[in-house]
Amino acid sequence: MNKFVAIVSIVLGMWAQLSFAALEIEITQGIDDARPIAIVPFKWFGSTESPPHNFAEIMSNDLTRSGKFRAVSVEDMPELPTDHRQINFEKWREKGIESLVVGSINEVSNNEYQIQYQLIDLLQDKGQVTDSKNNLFPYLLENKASLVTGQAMRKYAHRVADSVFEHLTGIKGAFDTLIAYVSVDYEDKYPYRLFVADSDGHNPRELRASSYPIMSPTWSPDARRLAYVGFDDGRSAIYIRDFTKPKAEKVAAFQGINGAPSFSPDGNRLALTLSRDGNPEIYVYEINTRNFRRLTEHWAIDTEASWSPDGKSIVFTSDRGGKPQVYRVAANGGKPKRVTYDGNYNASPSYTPDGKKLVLVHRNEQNVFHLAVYDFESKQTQIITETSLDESPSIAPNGSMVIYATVHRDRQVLAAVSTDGRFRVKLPSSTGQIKAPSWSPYLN
Amino acid sequence: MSLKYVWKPVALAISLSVLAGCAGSSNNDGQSNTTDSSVQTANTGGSVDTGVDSTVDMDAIDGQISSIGLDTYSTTSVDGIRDDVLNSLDPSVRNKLTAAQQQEIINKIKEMQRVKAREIFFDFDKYAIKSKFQSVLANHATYLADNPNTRIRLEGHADERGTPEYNIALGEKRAKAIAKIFMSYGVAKSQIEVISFGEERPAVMGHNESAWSKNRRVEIKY
Repeated sequence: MNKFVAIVSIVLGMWAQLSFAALEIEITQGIDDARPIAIVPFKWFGSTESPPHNFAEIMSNDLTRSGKFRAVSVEDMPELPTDHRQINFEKWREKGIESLVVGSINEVSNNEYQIQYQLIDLLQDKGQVTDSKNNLFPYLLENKASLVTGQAMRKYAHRVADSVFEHLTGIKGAFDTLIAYVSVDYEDKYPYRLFVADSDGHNPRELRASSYPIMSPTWSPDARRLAYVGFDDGRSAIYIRDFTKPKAEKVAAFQGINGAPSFSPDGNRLALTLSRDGNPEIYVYEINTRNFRRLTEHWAIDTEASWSPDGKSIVFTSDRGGKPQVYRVAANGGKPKRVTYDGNYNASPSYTPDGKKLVLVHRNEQNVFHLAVYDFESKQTQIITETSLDESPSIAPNGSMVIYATVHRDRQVLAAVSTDGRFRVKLPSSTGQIKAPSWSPYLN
Repeated sequence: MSLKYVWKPVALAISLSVLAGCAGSSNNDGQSNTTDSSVQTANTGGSVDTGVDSTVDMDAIDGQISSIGLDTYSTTSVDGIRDDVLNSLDPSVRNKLTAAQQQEIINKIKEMQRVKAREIFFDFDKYAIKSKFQSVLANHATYLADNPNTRIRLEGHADERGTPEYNIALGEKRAKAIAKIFMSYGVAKSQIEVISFGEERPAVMGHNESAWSKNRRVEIKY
C-alpha cells in the first residue's frame, strides 16, 4: 500500500492549501468515559533538532479524534520515559492513566529512520520487570521497530495509532485512511476543487479543479479508485479515477442527470442516477462490460443509491410518496419497499458496515436537517448530530465515526460524529468551504 | 394590482407636455398636485397651444414601461401591467390611444418582461409552478414558439437544505416543469436544454430563508 500512496502523491503532485486542519480539532461534545492514554514524546536521535514529524502528537490527535480516548498533554505527564523499563507505574496510575505509548526515532541514514515503540497497559502491571523478553511482560501489549522514510512517517504514525486502537478496543483502527472532499471558493478562478487528504486532513492532493461544480466523490472498496460527478460546460458526467492511471475516465454522460455513484461491495459495479429516460432513476453500471441496467421506474425522483454490505440490496431516496424517504430494492431488481416513515425528509442513506443500520439525513420537527441512524430491527430513527444543515454523511470503514458536511459560523465545514451520537467534533478549514466528504475503506 | 414602481425623473420630464396631470399613481396625491401646478405653469408660459392636443408621446410610455420593477414583471400578468400603465395616463391622453398604439404598448410590455423576468421561484422541496409565474412563462413560451431558431437553457437550482444529490434531481424536475409548459405552447423540444445544478451554484449567499427563497429557482437563459 505504500506504493499506492506514493503513486497518488507523484501523479497528483499539487500540494494545495485548502484542507480541513487536524490541529484545529474542535471537540463539541466529549465522552465522559473516554479512556485516558499518554503518548509520550518519542525520543529523537538525529542530526537535526527534531524529527521530520511529531510522531506522538499525530498519534495523540488520532486517538482523541476517535472519541474513545483522551490523550493527556505532555504537561500532565509525570515523567517522559522512552522504554518500559524506565516507567514508574505508580506515578501514572495516580494520574488515572490506563495506557502508555513510549518510543524513539533514530535517524539511521539520510531520510531513513528507525522507529521503535511500546504499548503498555498500566492496569496489568504487577510491578515486577524481570526479563527482557516481551512475552514475560504481561503489561507489554506491543513492542515493535520499523524503518520508514521521512515521507512515510505520518502514515506510519497513523498505522501505529490504528494498532494501539485495536489492542485497546478490539476494533480495527481507521486512522490510516483517506478522505476525499470538495472545496468551494467562489472568489477563485476555479471555485470547485476535488481533493484527497489523509484522515486527519493533512497532505491534501488535488484531483480536479473546475469552474463548474464537482460532486459526490465516493471510493471503490479497494480504495484504488474514486468515482465522482463533474460538469463539462454545465452537463453532468460521472468519472472514475483509477489512482494507478494518470487520467480519470468518463463512464456516464447521458442527457440529463448523471449522478450519485456508489460502488458495489465487490467493486465491479456502480449504482448511479440517470435521468436519460425522463426521470431520475437508479441504474446499475457494470464496469467491465459498460452495461447499464435500470433498477427503478417511477415518475418521481429516485436517487442516492447505496449498497448493503452483502451486495444484495440497494437503498435509495425517493419522493414517490410525496416526500423524500428511503426505499430498499433487491440489487438484481424487484419492487422497492419503503424503509423510513419517521418524519417528512429522510435521504442520503448508507449502511453501517454490520448491515444492521442506516446513517441518513433526517429533517426533524423543527425543520432542522440532522444526521440520524435508522435501526432495521427496532425501526427507530435516532438523531445523532446537534449541528444544522447536515448533509453528505460518510461512514468510517470500522463503523465508529461518520464524517459529514455542515454549516458552522456561516461557512460549510466538515464535522464528525460517533455512530452512537455520543462524541462530536468539528474539523474546520483555514479558508473557503468544504463539502461532500467521503471516507475511504481500509488501505490495507 | 397596483404598480410598485416610481416615476423616473427623466420619463416624467419628457412626458410633461403631453401627459398633463398623469404623474404618480393614484395613491400619491400630494406629488400629483405639485406636478399639476408645474405643468400648468409650463403650459401657460410655453408655446403649447392649449386648444390643440398634441399626439400621444409613446417615448414617455416606453420610459414608464422600462422603469417597472422586476418583481412586477415576474409576477404580474401582461394585461395587469397594461391596465396599470393605461390607468396612470391622463384620461384625455388614454382615450386618444389608437388600437395600434395600445397593441404597441402590450408588445413593449411583453418584450420588457421577457428581457427582464428570467427567474422563476419555487417553494421548498416543490417543483410545481406557482400561478403568479404563469404570465411571464406564457410570454417566454410565445416568443420561443414564434422564433423557432432561438434556443434556451433552463437551469434548475435548489436551496442548500437537504442533500446535494436529491437537490440535483429537484432542480431538474423544476426545469423540466417549465420546459413542459413551453412545449405546450408549441416550443420545440430541440429549442430547450435542461440542466440542473442543484444546490451547487447559489444565486445568493447566506443560510436563511431570505437567501434560500432566491436560490430555489429556474433561470431562463437565452
